[in-house]
Formats: sequence, C-alpha cells, structure tokens
Amino acid sequence: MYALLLLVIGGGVVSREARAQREIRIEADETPLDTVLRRLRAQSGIDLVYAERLVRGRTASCTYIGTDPRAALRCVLTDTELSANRVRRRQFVLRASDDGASRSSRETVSGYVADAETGERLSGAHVYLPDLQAGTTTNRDGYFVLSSLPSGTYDVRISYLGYRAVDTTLATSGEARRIALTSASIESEEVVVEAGGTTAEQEARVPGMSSVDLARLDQLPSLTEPDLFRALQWTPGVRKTSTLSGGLSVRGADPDQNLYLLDGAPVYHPWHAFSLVSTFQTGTLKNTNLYRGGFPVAYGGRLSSVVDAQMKDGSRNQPSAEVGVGMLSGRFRVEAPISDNTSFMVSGRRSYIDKIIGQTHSVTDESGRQDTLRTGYYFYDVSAKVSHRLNEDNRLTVSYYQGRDALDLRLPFDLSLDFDSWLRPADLFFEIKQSWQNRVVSARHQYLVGDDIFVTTSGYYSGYQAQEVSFVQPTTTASLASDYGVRLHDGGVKVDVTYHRSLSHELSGGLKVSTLQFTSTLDSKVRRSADVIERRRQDSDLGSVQVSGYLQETWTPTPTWSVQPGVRASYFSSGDYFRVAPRLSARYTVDPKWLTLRANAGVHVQYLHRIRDRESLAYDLVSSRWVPASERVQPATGLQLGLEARTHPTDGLTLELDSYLRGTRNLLAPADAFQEKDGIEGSGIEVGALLGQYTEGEERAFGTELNATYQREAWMARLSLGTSRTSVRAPGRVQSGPRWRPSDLDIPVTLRGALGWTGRSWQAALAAEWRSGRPVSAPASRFQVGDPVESSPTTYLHRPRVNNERLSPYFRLDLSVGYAFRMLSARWQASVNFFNVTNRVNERGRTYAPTSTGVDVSSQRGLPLLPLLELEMKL
Amino acid sequence: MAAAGRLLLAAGLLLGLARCDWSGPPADETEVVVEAFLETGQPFPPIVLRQTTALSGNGGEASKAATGADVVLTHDDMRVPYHEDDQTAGRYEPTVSGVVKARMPWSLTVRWKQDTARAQGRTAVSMNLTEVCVEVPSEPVQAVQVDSLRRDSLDIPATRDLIFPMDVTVHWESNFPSASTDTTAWVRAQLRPDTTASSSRLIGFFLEPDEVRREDAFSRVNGGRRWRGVYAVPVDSSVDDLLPRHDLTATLVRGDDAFADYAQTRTDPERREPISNVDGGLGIATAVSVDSVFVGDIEEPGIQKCVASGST
Repeated sequence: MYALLLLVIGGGVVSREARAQREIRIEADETPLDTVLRRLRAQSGIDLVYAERLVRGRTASCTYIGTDPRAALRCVLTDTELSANRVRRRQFVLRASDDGASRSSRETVSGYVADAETGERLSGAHVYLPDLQAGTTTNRDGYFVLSSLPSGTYDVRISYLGYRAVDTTLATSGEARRIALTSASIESEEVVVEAGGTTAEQEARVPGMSSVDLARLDQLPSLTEPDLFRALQWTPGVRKTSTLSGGLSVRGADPDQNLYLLDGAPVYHPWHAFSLVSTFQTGTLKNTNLYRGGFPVAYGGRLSSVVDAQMKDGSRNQPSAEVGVGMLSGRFRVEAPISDNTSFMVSGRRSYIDKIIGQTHSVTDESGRQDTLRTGYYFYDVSAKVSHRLNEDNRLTVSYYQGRDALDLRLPFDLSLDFDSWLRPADLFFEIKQSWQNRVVSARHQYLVGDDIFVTTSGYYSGYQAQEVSFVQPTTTASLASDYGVRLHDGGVKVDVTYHRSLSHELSGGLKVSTLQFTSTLDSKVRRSADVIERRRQDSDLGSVQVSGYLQETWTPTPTWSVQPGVRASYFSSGDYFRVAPRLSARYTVDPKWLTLRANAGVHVQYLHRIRDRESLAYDLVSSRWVPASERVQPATGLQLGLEARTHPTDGLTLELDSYLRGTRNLLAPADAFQEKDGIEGSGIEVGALLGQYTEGEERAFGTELNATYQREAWMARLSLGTSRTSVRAPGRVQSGPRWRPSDLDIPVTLRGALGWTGRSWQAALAAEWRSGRPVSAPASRFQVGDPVESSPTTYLHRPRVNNERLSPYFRLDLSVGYAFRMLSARWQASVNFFNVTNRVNERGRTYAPTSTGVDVSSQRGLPLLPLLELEMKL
Repeated sequence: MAAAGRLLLAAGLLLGLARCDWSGPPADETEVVVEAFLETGQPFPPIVLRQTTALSGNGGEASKAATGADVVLTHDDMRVPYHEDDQTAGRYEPTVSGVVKARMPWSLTVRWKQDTARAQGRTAVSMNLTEVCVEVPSEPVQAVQVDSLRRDSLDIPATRDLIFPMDVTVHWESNFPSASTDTTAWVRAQLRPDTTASSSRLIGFFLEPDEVRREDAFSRVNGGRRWRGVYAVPVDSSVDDLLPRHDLTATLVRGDDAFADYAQTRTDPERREPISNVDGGLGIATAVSVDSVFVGDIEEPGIQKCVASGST
C-alpha cells in the first residue's frame, strides 16, 4: 500500500516536473488580459490569483516562446500596470503596480476566532482563503495568522467542528479581527461544519488525528453517562480493554502507551469507578483532539496515542449554569465573566450511590453485641479554570482539576444477594479502604510577538496517588493487614514558539523540562496462625529528570502539497538515555473534494512502563505502577507508518480509509503468560522484584480502518470497519521459545454502526458493535506427570500456544431515547439508555479444567440488558 | 482517480489479510512427556515417558505411555543407557547400576518417534532434615469457608467451620559456602498430613502447607535453615470439637531453578500446566535431593511434638 502511495505521489511530482518543462507559447496583441492569463495558466500550470475587477478592461500585448513561467508572466503583464507577487511555489497574486504596499514582502492577515455565545476563543478552527487555496488553523488561543501575503483584502472562510461557517473579508496588516462563530445548536440557515467536512480541515489534519465531536457523540447510547472516553470509542481503532474495567487500547496497543493531557498537563490514571467512567467530563471540555499512531513532534513520551483535551475558559458574555443527574453521579457547571477580560468555569461531579445505601450501618445481634459495617463508595471531580486577558496579545489561564475515588468496606464474607444477612456483627470479615486521586494544576501564558510569532509558556504539576488499606480475617487466628501506597509526582515547564514565516513556511519549536518522582510503600502483616506471623515493610523511591525539545517545519509549497518534517530529542536522566525521534508527515490533495492523501512516519520513545504485580491479589491500583527506564530497563521505541485517504463524495458524507504499521521494541511483556494473581502477597513493591515477572519483547501491528460518517440536518449515521492484527514476541516460559503470537488485545475485525436522529424535542439513537472475540489460550492436549514425593501423577492440559483461539464474537445493540423540554425556566433533557437491547449473552472469558474424561470448558458472561436513566437541567 | 482505485484495492487486500487468523486451531501433535528425578545418594532412577493425548477420551488415555523410546542418561561423564520395563509400559530402567553423586553434571536424551527431548543440569547436594516440631493448639478456631475468587456472581455463600491451625517448624542442615553456585539452590518445604484439606480457597491463602524459596532466603538458625509452615485440620463439629488423630510427613526437596519453576507451577492444574525444562518435549527432568520426617499420631491439643531425623 505504501509503495502504492509513493507511486501516486511520485507520479504527481513527475507529472508536475514534466509540465514545468513544457513549452509556453504566448502571442497576444491587444488581447483581453483575462484571456491571456487563462491561456498562460493552462500552458504553464502555475496558479494565478486575482480579482476579476482588476483585469477587466485591460489588454495584453506580448509574445513569448519558452519554458519559464515567470518570464512569460512578466511578458504578459508588461504595460498592464499590474504586477505579480509570488506567494508560494507556482502560485502568484496579481496586484495593481501603483499599490506601493504590494511590493512589501511581508503582509499578514490575522485574527481571533471565538464562540459567539460565550466569547470563548476556539482553538483548532479552520481559516481558509479560497482564492489562494491556502489555510491554517487557530492555535490554543484561537489566534491565526497568514503571513507573506500581498497587501489587499481577501475572502476568508472560517469554520469549526459543530459551528456554522462564516465567510468574511479580511485586509492585510490590519488589526487582528475577532470573528465569532455560532454554535450548531443555535438554529440558523447557515452551513454547519460537520466532522471532516471542509477542505480547510483537511489542511490541518495529520493521519490518524480526530477532532472529537463531543456534542454529537454524547447523544449515542452508553452504559454510563457523558464521558470523553466513551465518545473516543467511536473512533475506529479505539476500544476499552474490558467493558467494566481496564483502560483504552488504541490500535491494539497497551493502555499505558496513551498520553492523556488536560490543558497540557499529563493525567496518569484518568478513571473513576474502577475504570467504568473517565475523569474527563465532556461538559467541561471545549476542544479535544485524538492522535492515533504517529503524532506531531510537539507530543512525546508515549507510543500509541495522544488525547489532548482543553477545558472550557468560561463564558465571557453571560453567566450560565448546568445541572445533571446520571446513572452514577450528579454534576454541575457554572461559567461566567468576572470582568471584561476575565472569565471562569467551575464544574463538579459526585457519585451518589453512598447516599442511597448509606456509608455506615450499626448492627446488633441477639446477644446485644454491636458492630458497625461500612459500605461507602464515592468519587468526585472538581474542575476550574480562570482565563484572563492581559491585553489583546497576552493571555493567562490557570486550570485546576482534582478527582478522587474512595471505597470503604467492612463486611462479613457472606456476600449473598440477601442484603439483610450482611447486617450482623462480624468476627470473620474483611475491611478494605481504597482511594486514588489525580490532582492537576497548570498555568499557561500565551503571547503574540508582532503578528507572526506566538509564544506559549506553561507550567504544570500532575500528582497521582493510590492507597489500599485492608484487613482480612478469615479465621479467628489468621489475618492479613496491609497498607499499600503509590504516589507519582510530575512537574514541568515548557516553552513553545510558533513562527508563521509565510504561507509556505511555519516553523515551530519547543523545550520542556520535567521531573518525575515515583514512591511506593508497603507495610503488611500476615498472621497465618497464632504464632506464625510474617511482617514486611518496603519502600521504593525513584526519580528522574526529562529534558525534551522539538523542531518542526510545516512547508506548504503548493496548494496541493504540505510536508511536515520534524524531530524530537529527549534526555532521560534515569539510565542516562538520549533519544532522537524524527518524524515526517505529508499531505497531497489529488482533488479537494474527491481525494486527499496523507502519510506519516515517525519514531516514538516511551520512558515509562506500567507494570503490575502478576502474583498479588491486591487491586491493580496499588499492585501496578509506573516504572521509569533505567540501566535495567530500556525505554520502549516504536516506529509508526500511517496512511490516510479521505473523500467527500456528497454533502454530509465523509469516507476515510486509514492504514497503519507499527513496530515496537523493548516493551515489557509477562515472562509467564499463564501467571495469575494467586497470593495475598506478591513480589512486593520493589521494582526489581516486579521486573522479574517481565521480560523485554517486541510488538508489531498493522491494520486498516474504513470509516463513513454522514451528518445532515437531523440525521447522523456512522459506520466503521476496522481490521487489524497485533502480535507480540517475547522470550518467556513458553517452552517453544519466543515466537510471534496474537497480543491479548488483538481484535482482527470490528464493525460499528450508529444511527441518530434529533428533532425539536425528541432524539433517538441506535448503536451496534460486532467484533471478533478476544484471544484465549486453549489447550491442545492432555498429559500426566508426577513429582519426586507424590505417588501418582497429575493430569494437566497442554497449551502449546498462547492466545491460539478466540472467544465467541461479541455483539451488542444499544438504544437511546431522549426528550427535551422546558420547565421552571430551565431547559431539561431526560433520556433513557438501553444497554444490550437484545440481551445477548456475550462471552467475556473462558476457562478450561482437566477432568477424568477430558476437559471442562466454562465461560463467563457479559452484562445483560440494562436500562439506564439520565436527567439534565440547563439554566 | 486511478491512483485512488489502486489505493482502495491495496487497502482491500490489507483488510483481507487482517481477517486471517494465523493462530489457527490447536495443533494436533503428540509430544513426549518426560518424568525423571535424579535423587542424590540414590541409584540411577527409573524414567517414565508418557505422551500427550487428545482432549476428549477416557481417563486412561491421559496417561498413555510413550513406548519404544531410546533413553540415555549421562552422569559425571558416565553413559547410562536405559531399556524399557517389560512389566510397565513407558517405564525405563537403567542398564548400568550406579548412584547419583552430588554436584555432578548430568544430561538426558530421549529419542521417541521423530522427536528428541533433552534436559541437563547439575545434581543437588544431599538434603538432611534434622528436626520437625508440630505445635497443636489447645482448641479449634472458627474459619469461614468461602471461595473468594468467584467472580461470576454476587451471591457468594459462606459457611463457618472449625479448624485446628497446626504450626510446624522444620530444621535442616545447610552449609553452603556463600560464594558457591550452590547458593542458588531452591528448597521446597512441604507438609503432607493424611487428613482432609480445607476446602476454602480463602483459608488456603493464609495457610502455608508448602513453600518454594531460594535456600538462602530461609531463616538461618544454628548454621542450618528453618521454615515454619501451617496446615489446617478441619473438625467435624457435628460430632465433637476434638482434633482428629492424624499423621504428618514433612518433606524437603532441594533442587535447581528448573525444579523450582516446576514445583511452583504444578499445583494448579485447573489453571495451568507446570513449566517444563525439557527441550523438545514436556514434563520435568531434574536432579533433587529429598529428605522427610514422619510425625505420627498427632491428636493431643495444646502440646508441641518434635521429631528428630532418624527417630519416629
């Protein structure tokens, strides 16, 4: 496929070169200038941009025979009082010669794009000059600039996902204009920008990048409530590793290879409720980009994907409030202007299950003995952001996020469905207190130097901590008391500079310094009997400093070509590693409507590995941890190739075809694929002991994703077909030695579809997913073998291959129906989701056990049909 | 547009390729299963060869013998050919008499059908278990009987029973030079009472009837090593609360890394097969040294009963 791409691109280049050498023959004598210019354009292949009024009534008298388009153009414009300015390779703009400014080499068109309702600046909006077939996107401050233009006025089209496009006229070197876009949710007759629906958007994308349309994806049925990660799973190649737990896997990669950014700060464990919902509330986000595979050099530190989410700045026009109640939690959001230059947004969310069933329960038995049982669980989020504009060219934002989960249980062992039986004094019981939290603070200063250099200085702190305190007493004399703690601190500063040199050249670079600190503690006491007691106290403290820098050029030589070479270099103090990661992406527009091709290639480096104790029964939160590269563990390195073809055959319909290849080495893979948690204490928290359970391996993956999106008026339809393979090879205890085998996350075929309709009051959506079953290691035969001190042998099942079979294919159909209404001066939205409408029994796991006559196979089933309600109110 | 067509064609090919599942169905191949334990101080051992059998079939097939094999053991440069036992299919006896000596290199080669299975190592230092002490509690304790690992239901019934948790201390000689390669020896300490084991997996996590550790990780006491284990004796409380009379065999096995891997992974046949050190086959071929002490007639509560090696 990639050879084919080279063929296409190469063919285009050769064809252009051949055209450049073509003979140009101009013979004009008082011929209308417009006619001669068209003739020149046709013969030379150069692009001439001019206003009709400029050439109307003018004539050209010129004779030129040769191969130099510039000389031919000079000949044609002789005595016409017009001149030509080159803006890019093979592209010229005609101006009146008496316009002195036209000879200036650097004129710019610039401005800010903002939300008309809230006044918030919109990053990632597309700015397009149709005459020049050139465009750009707004940066994080909503600013755009198009440099090195001939002076004059230009038609400009501004568009943004979910907003109505605006056509306007901007003059060069004027004040930066503020352009307001109206949200699609406000009724209007104008064009609404759909995902991937504009040429301008194509200009800005890189293969695998998706702007997440949260407003629409939130309407699709879900198991829980509005959630970024749920929305992301509508992107081909993105899925959760398990319905109720696990992380996000992007194109078959392990979840630890994803980088989650919230206002530029990394979030290390972005999950609530044991990975049921994410810490990213869609209502607090204004813009989210997902990069699958090769991402730009501005991002680093992970191999697989980047989720870059930005919190809302807060309305600069008028206060607003929103309150909602979902299946798990209640939430609110308030945003308002504080002054003309300052606004804020604050949001909160908290689960309420503990308020329903109670946190503590005092119980008394017949003998009068008292006890207090506990069934507490909650999670909450607090998000806040203040945005202050110092002046038109300086902006300061401060963001804060804190989320926490806390579980507090004290229960007898008998967890029957008869809840009343729990409520009795317990002498054999278990207590578990688990908590985990993220705290993220970031500050960002954006500064416009002149009108073509944009400097962003930011600092952040991201902290994550988890703790599990447990006490288990299964007999009068045996007990386990343990206290695990895991902490991670990441603080850094960075400077990013973007220089908009011309329409053809944009240079950006950045430098980042960060410190990472990983601490773990363990204090456990196992009492096996009255006199046999084992005590273990351990602590681990690792730290490292990372320095990284990047440089990237965006070169757009012609309207059809854009090339983005870049390089990222990084130094990691732990292990003294220095890595250089070059990356290259390119876009070639075969036809703006019918076909745009993109390709990228790049090297990615990840210095952190997330591993878990595969022996300990402690929850993954504390039995897993980030381990930095060191002398013992190499950083993981991946090479990625991506290719994308995109077309818009009809209005509202977008077809995308993405392919990728990925090869990664120095990944940590389990040394023993069959090891499962089977002990109340595992290896402990010492990194060396944990690493002993792993071995360095390789991974390779490839796949193709076909995605069709149709959005028009009240209807929305999505269909995606993904085919992929992910395999790993690692030396382990599989006796046949290292060989390529399907990864645990290898899903060869995934088919997803959704159909949504939104009326004035009602809305409905139907979503379906069919995919291959997950890999499972099935036995091939039985055998018996003995022991030095046993008298008879034991029968085992022989599994010569890891992941050699699959579970049954997975299918699920979800339905969502919503109704919007006004009551008590507020807008309400009530919706009901039906999860697994067909109540299909999906197989989520399978076990094999040897029996006297063969093998006993048993399957674990997934969730049944679940109806879920949600209510939301907006003031 | 032709280029676009070619692009789509190539993408279609990739789609088709991804559809293929190279893992395929389980291989229908028969493999030889080796069972050989060279015990220091003992005569060259018999070697048992079996073969893997189909998943379905009667119980007898699970232990199908591998007959007609060519078996050769090399011990301290001494070549020991084996011949098949006429009486027991799959059992091979040495044709040369001799005793397994400590710290000697050995290798085993088995040729069966078209396959050749090999294993090698170094023989273990003799094990000398010096004393076993059993502490019997004066009364039973309550224990919850629950399989805490059930994950497919919220309905987890639990019952209560009485058990006697029995503490056992085992001492053995261990005089390896610290710098010697022998310090990488592993020891499996094991308590084998002749009573019914507790059926609760949860209780099983807390008991420690056996343990496999590197020998230098055990407590050092008076120049030797010590291990403390716990086993439980369930009480039939419908009859009485007395400790059922029973016997205990405490066994120590010293072996190498291969033995440790095997011993640590052989106890859960419902989940996995043991790690094999046989190249070209399955099973285990390793060198060990074994010693055990028998403690009989344990029934009196509240006492400590110690038995030294050589006495019963």
